[in-house]
Amino acid sequence: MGARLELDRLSYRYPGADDCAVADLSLAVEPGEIIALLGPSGCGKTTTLKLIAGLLESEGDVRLDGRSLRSVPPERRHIAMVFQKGLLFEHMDVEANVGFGLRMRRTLKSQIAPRVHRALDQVQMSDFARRRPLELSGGEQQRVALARALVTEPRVLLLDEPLSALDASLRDDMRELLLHLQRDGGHTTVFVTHDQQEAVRLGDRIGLMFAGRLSMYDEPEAFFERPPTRKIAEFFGATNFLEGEYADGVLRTAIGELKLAARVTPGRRTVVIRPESIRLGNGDNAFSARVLECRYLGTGMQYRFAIGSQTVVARLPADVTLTAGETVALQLPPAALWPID
Amino acid sequence: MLAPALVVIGGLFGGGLADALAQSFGWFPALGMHDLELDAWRAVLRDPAILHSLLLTLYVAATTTAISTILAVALALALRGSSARLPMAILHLPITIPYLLAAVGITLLVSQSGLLARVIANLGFIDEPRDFPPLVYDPYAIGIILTYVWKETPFITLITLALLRGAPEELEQVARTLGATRRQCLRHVILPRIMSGLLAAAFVAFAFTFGAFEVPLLLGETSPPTLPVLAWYEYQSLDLADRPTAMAVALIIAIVTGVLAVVLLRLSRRFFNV
Ligand SMILES: Nc1ncnc2c1ncn2[C@@H]1O[C@H](COP(=O)(O)OP(=O)(O)OP(=O)(O)O)[C@@H](O)[C@H]1O
Ligand SMILES: [Mg+2]
Repeated sequence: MGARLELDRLSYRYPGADDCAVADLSLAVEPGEIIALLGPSGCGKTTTLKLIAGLLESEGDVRLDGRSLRSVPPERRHIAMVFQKGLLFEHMDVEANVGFGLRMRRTLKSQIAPRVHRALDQVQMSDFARRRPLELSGGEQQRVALARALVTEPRVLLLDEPLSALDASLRDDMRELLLHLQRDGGHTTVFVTHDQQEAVRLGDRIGLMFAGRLSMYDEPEAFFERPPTRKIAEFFGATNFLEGEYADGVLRTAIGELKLAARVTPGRRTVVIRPESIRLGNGDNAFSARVLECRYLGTGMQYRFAIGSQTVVARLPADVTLTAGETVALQLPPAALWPID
Repeated sequence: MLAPALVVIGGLFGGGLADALAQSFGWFPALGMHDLELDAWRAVLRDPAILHSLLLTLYVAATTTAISTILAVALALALRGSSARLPMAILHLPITIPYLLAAVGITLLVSQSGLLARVIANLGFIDEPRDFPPLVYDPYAIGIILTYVWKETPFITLITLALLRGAPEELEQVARTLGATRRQCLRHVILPRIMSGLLAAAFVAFAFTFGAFEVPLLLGETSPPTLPVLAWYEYQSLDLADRPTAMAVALIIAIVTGVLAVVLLRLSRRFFNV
């Protein structure tokens, strides 16, 4: 069973660097939970995992079930990390790779083989036991790397972009496999991704990082429905921001008065609305809008509209066919307008 | 594209070898010797002195290579993480110094009239410099081995460093999170990874030590001489009848080195999958 993992004000600066790669990062992962560390390239995700694993000497503390790991070297933490690249040991075959951790920890020989085979079975690589890493595809290598970590029965599993090297269909398969293994084994898991979709699909919670700092740590819905800042809203694909003066339950903006469902303190305020929340038709907050541009998305249509001087982007079902220049009634439902800082 | 290169290499290498082979069988048209005969080979293979020379040469080359390789791996591991310039400069220095100078330097340092002997005598550890153990012209060829170790350790170190830097640091980090200690990383991850390259570098050092004559000529006992020195003596001899013997000895050197190369290649393939 996985352990409760706590990061307490972790900071790290690479030797010679000006800025901290990770700064003052605190979060907790419950036993058996899987969380996603999400953020743009270079924001410190990999570094954070290495700090958890004890591979870099950090400030702050990492605790497992309440016990500090400050003076525990990586090999005694029982925290296994799967790196961005598979990093298999090329001089060993697949079976020897998977058995590596057990051999290093001097597990009884008679136990190693069955455990290795079970792990290979779990990632559906049993037929490849005798192959060398160089004879495997990228996806196969990653599955072996995963088995090599799982077989050690880690208290925490760290995954650094485990799906990034895979094509779309393999990615779906691997994602299912990962979730399945994670639920089955009850591993406390931290996985890293820069793909917002992936974070949402896999993570019980998401930690969003910018420039070494944790900006928000919450359930996936919160990032869509209740983003606290413009930057976070934008990272999750919200593109429409409307600014105005709030008083008496309405926000007075350049395009007119907007009713809000959320409670807001009076003053200068910005609200955000996601493209998929905008609807055609009349009702509260309906405006006359001119179609500027349309684009086919496969799963629907994306339109750009002008409401007065304001441009908004809306995602509508594929059966809605509008042409550029046309004028329609567009509704911004009050419940979908979320105030941000 | 490859053809001209092959002609040059084949001509120099194969031609030289063929010529040496012909001469070792007494075929030397320039001197009017046209009969193929086995005299030189028979004499060489029966002569116990040659066996002594062969053993001495093997001993010098093997000891040198073993010591240099161990030192080099230790040095490379120590220098791996650093970007300091000074150690690298010091490392390059011996490589640029000719063997002849190195031999002279070692003599000045460790002979019985050398610097070390005098310092130790002055410090009172021995009564006079002459009591210092003979390290040059000695039966254990210590002077020769010291010279070669001094020259070859940096060479193998630089190659090992390049090999180490070719292995991603994260490979070791992965091993650590799987439960390997630092020492286990070295033993099970790093060394196997660099082993085939390291063996190749060690082989180059061995082959050179096994076939070169100037250092043992300067610092070795005259009897028995190493094989290359012996070949050199015979080659230098005014009596041209010694020429086939010189060539036979030179060919023995080539054969031993060649056999070793094949064995190493096989070993590398078998164990390190390259
Ligand atoms: N070994 C290193 N030495 C110095 N700086 C480094 C080193 N590794 C990473 N950095 C820097 O630290 C910052 C964080 O790097 P990190 O690898 O953690 O990013 P990341 O979020 O994993 O990015 P990506 O999504 O591209 O993998 C970056 O600015 C990077 O340039
Ligand atoms: Mg990364």
